[in-house]
Amino acid sequence: MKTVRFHRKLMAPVLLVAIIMILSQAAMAGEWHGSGTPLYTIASGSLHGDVHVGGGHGLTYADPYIEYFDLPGNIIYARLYVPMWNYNRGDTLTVSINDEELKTRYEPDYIAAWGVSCYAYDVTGVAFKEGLNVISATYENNNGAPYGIFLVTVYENESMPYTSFWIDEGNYALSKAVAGGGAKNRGEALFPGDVNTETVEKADLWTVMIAGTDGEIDELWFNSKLLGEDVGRAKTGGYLDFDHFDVSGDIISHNNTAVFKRGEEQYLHPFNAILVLEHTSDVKGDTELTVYETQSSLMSSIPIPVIAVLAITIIGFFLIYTKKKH
Amino acid sequence: MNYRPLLFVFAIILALLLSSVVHAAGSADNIDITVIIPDRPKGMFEPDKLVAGGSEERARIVFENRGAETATISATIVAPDLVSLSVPIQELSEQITEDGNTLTVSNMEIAGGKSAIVRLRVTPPDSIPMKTMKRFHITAAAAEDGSRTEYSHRFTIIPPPSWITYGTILASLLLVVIAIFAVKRFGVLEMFTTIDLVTIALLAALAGVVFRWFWQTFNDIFGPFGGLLFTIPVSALMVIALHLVRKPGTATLLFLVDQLVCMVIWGSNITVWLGWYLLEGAVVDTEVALFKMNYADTRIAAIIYGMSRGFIAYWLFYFLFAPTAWKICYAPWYSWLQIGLAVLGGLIGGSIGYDAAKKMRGAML
Repeated sequence: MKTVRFHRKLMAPVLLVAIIMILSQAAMAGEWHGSGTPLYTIASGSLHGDVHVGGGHGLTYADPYIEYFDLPGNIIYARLYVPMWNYNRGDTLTVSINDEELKTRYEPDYIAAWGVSCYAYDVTGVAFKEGLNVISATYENNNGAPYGIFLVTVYENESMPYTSFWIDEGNYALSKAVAGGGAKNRGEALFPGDVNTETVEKADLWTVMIAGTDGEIDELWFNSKLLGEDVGRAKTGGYLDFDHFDVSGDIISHNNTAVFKRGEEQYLHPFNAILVLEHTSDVKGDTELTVYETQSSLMSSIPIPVIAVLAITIIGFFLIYTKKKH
Repeated sequence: MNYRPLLFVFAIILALLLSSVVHAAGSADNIDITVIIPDRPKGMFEPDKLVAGGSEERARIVFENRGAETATISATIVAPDLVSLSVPIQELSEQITEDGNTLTVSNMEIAGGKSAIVRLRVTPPDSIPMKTMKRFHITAAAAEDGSRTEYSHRFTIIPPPSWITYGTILASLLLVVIAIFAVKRFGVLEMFTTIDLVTIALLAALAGVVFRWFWQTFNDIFGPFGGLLFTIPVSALMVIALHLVRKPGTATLLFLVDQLVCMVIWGSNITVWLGWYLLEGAVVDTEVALFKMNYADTRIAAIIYGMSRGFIAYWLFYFLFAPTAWKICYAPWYSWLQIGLAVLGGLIGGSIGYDAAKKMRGAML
């Protein structure tokens, strides 16, 4: 009889944990996703031509979310990004480029923290027009919306200087959250390989960051040069920072690196870093393009602190119960 | 035969016909101008209101041709100096020239019943001493008949109400300090015991870790009612804390610990949200004192505490903290809907908390 009563007392907290476990498998809505994916190179190469990086414009909850791009011709590689707030299982995203609808997506490629996510598309095969192109995103996302639409296009033009490029992507949540597995204060975007610095005429770096706050001082470095403080301050629209830096004098001969330092920011999500090096006119070469595998991550789990507090609560109830019995 | 009346009638008919012919050609009189700022969904966000220090916002100017004929419209858009203006890439990019805060859009061919859209980036000023009304002045001229139409669109820039926010919080905290001091002076106040602190820490951890995670994870399932997943358990835990600890300042301490836990576990921004959390606790602690130290000993008191916590927390968020911290103005109906839901959550949570607290107190004693 005593055993039966003991089980009854324990039933409520055990049931609560069980319900949470079951629901978390069934719903997976806006839950904690950890620190996400550190930035890595998705494509790199060299060619006579250039790289066009464009996009915007912050969280507005507009649906459809529309962004226009003025593009060059002869595109040989194109990567499209739709960063999205509050991904939930069951959400959809449908992107149209010049009225050509891409396949509806049900899962993002990158996700971190409380559902800060990013859908990445290889849109090399899409018929872009030289000149004005319109990209629209329609979505089903309760309480969420796109932070922006970004397009990186690599295009050939034999009359242009020889150019090397690295396109880095990911979604790394820099924060001091214990639930993220400990504080993450720094994220790097590596542009791997050797560079002949003597032939570099011009170097450009573009970065995309989400969740920067005005007045919370972060730092952005390129190799050993501080490019700026409080770079993440939502200056390109709600929660969005899209920046361009001239890093011509700061290129090193091996493994150039952009470093995102969280500093005082509570949260900072580096999403993209694109490095483009324009070589002197005497440098000639063939078109080289390497596209790497996507390192998608859709990890989600019940954070350890949640389990720990629940366990402590259950133990507490158990102690109260046993104390009362004696 | 006198033809004069007949001629007169004929002249009138001819005049009417001619005027309709003139009107049928593209005319600025047929152009309806609409300004949408910020360019966000109207239902949720308040139109025509920007917050100083806020992010760049998109705006949209729509020229709608209500006539039947195609009109070739050139427009001048003058934005106030207080905002900074730029033009994103768009369909009309090649027809737009920018000179400071004046845009000229040339030769928009707008078919009858169709619209042309000019998109803008508008950045509000970093700071502003007081609420200020400004206007976009738009002039549209039709190439066909030289007609012109003018439109002026008013919008408001408000300062982020940080001094009101923090002044209010400071005042309420001072009130609580004075109340605690007065109670202590009369020897009523007992210090928090270790058991009290452990109880508060555990309840704060349940609110800040378990139920916050639960709410963030499942709130989308319940759509607009998702907030109840947070307000119900938080109100219940607050009532349990009041009932078990039974000390002045319990609610304030509970929310302080809750916020500290959130900072450590989830990386929450304590500098922004601490005041918000403390104030809801301070209000409840003041109510406890007003109700002659009723620590949720009656169901009605527990419900009142839950409802007032919900009201003050959500009212503060939508009318003070959202404009201050996020530089966003929510539409009043949406804000009041959320406040109403929070009060409902407080009602339910207060009642649940009362029942749970009674049982727990019985078990502990």
